Amino acid sequence: MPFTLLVRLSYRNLFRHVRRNLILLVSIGVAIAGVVFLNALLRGMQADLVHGVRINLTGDYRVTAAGYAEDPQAARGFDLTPQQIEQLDTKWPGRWSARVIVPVVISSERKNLGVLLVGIDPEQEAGSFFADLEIAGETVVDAQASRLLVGKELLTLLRSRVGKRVVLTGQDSSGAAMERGFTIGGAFDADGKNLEQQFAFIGREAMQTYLRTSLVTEVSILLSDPRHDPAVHGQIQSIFDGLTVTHWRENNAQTAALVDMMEFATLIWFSVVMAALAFGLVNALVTAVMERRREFGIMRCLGMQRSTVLIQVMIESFFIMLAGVVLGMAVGWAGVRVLGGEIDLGRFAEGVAIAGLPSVISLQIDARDLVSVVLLACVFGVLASLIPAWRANRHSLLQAIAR
Amino acid sequence: MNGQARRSVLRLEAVSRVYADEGVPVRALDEVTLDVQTGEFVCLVGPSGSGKSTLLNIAGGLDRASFGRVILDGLDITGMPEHQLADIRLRRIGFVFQAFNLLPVLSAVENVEFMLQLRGERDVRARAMEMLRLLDMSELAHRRPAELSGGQQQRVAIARALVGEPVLLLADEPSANLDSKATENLLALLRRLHDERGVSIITATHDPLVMRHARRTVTLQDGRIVQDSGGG
Repeated sequence: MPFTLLVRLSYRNLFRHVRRNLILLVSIGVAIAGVVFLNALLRGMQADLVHGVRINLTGDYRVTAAGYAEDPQAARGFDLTPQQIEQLDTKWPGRWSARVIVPVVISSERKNLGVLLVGIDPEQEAGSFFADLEIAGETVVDAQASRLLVGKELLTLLRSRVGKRVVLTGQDSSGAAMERGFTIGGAFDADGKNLEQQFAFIGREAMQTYLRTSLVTEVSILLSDPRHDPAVHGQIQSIFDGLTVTHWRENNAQTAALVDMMEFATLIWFSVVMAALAFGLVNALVTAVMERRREFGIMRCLGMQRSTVLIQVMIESFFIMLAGVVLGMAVGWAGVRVLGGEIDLGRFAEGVAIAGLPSVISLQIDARDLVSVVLLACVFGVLASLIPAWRANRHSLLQAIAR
Repeated sequence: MNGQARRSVLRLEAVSRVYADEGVPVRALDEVTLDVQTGEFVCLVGPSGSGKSTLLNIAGGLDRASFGRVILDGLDITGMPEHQLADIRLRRIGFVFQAFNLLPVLSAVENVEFMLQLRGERDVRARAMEMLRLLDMSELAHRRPAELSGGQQQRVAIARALVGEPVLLLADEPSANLDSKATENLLALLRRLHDERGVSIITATHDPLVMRHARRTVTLQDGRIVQDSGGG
């Protein structure tokens, strides 16, 4: 097949109807730019969602005792041995936290509310959302800190304030009901009201004293890659023999499903855009081919095979599509850059806070998406050219060259 | 003319071509028998609708005979599949059309190269330039068809037809879009190529100038050969 000849013909034909091809090119470019930008938005939202889940005390992997997930009580804790601590520090230094988390009822003079009381060692919380909290008053300074740090929203709902005392009611490690008064040392402002309602913090050792236990209820490990890695899972399991190791996708199945759904939505959106583009491309190419019916006929008269004519039309479509894809990706990428890689929803702060969304949505361009865009667009382009290519060939030679 | 041994380049044996025109059968060619030898310059003449173009189309594998046999350079092309006919057209036949039919996005030399590239040959630029030089077109080799006069375009078309050294050159009204001076030049050129290269030429024409240059004149009327100066 005279491939260089076909490439030359295809390339030159692009410049034959400059205005029409330019309109087609811009259409493809705009669609592809839209796909790139929306993909970046969806990827950013996915990443924000996953990041939010991981730093909200879940980590990537969580170690708990059997039954804790169903009934999170102090009685279902486990002893964290020095050997385990040493292995954690060796393999994932600075990336793990041991916590005591139990549900309690927090009572002010006016209101009783359920909350998760989290006993932490602040030195181990560099990776969790705790490290980024804006705090009014006193934070949890160490594992012995016995004053409560509660969310601003919780404080509002309790109609209480920093410095006031509240009563926590729960079960100790033996399962016995117990009540104790605590002073609210500080109030935190988190990204989303849910977090402010859901958690109250205290020093881990102070909490163990309160629950009359030396156990922890979970070890959370936050890695750099949120994807599940069976090898890492196995390593953690080998350290905590007999305990349950779960990935964040298991601990937050709803978020995982939402992330998967967004992945699927991206694919559907992309397919719809590509199908629309393919229709546009078919329409433009059919017009172009019909105008050149005689020319294709002459080429066949001179000895060009039907299959070669078909390939020539397909190469032309491929060129237009490829040029449009490159243009669109450049525009989409530039758009993301111009926005600084994020969209600030500050103007709708109250609404997004109610929805539990962060006020800034990041835009992330995923190289795999770009590769998919290029490949799928080119495949769609070539498929879309089959109809005009067939039409270029369907006439008999005498019909084709007739004036 | 070169001294090659004479043999049959094209033989039509009782060839008929019947079209259906709104359901009514029309015989464009009616049992035409014609034998063209190597090196012949044959002129097909006759009134419009006499079957000249149909004969050329069938001879060149652009159309198929309804009845009879067509033998080109020893090959029976009557029932040949389209892809084989395309190859025959590419390698054995040169076409010169009334409307020149150069590819507008290619320059003159690229139009000539086109045939060689389709054949997958190498050193195509040198051969194409040589052919254009032979036709006094080398200085205009890089112009696109739109930048050439009718006569110049026809020269490029002839160069394209001959560059692959076909056994038969088929020309349908080659002078129809040319003025008399350009026609004289074209005919001198065809004559020269015929004499120097021994190319067999069949041309359909109404033009008396062209007829004067032919060595053999075949007259068609109502799809039949009514006179053949070559005695075929």
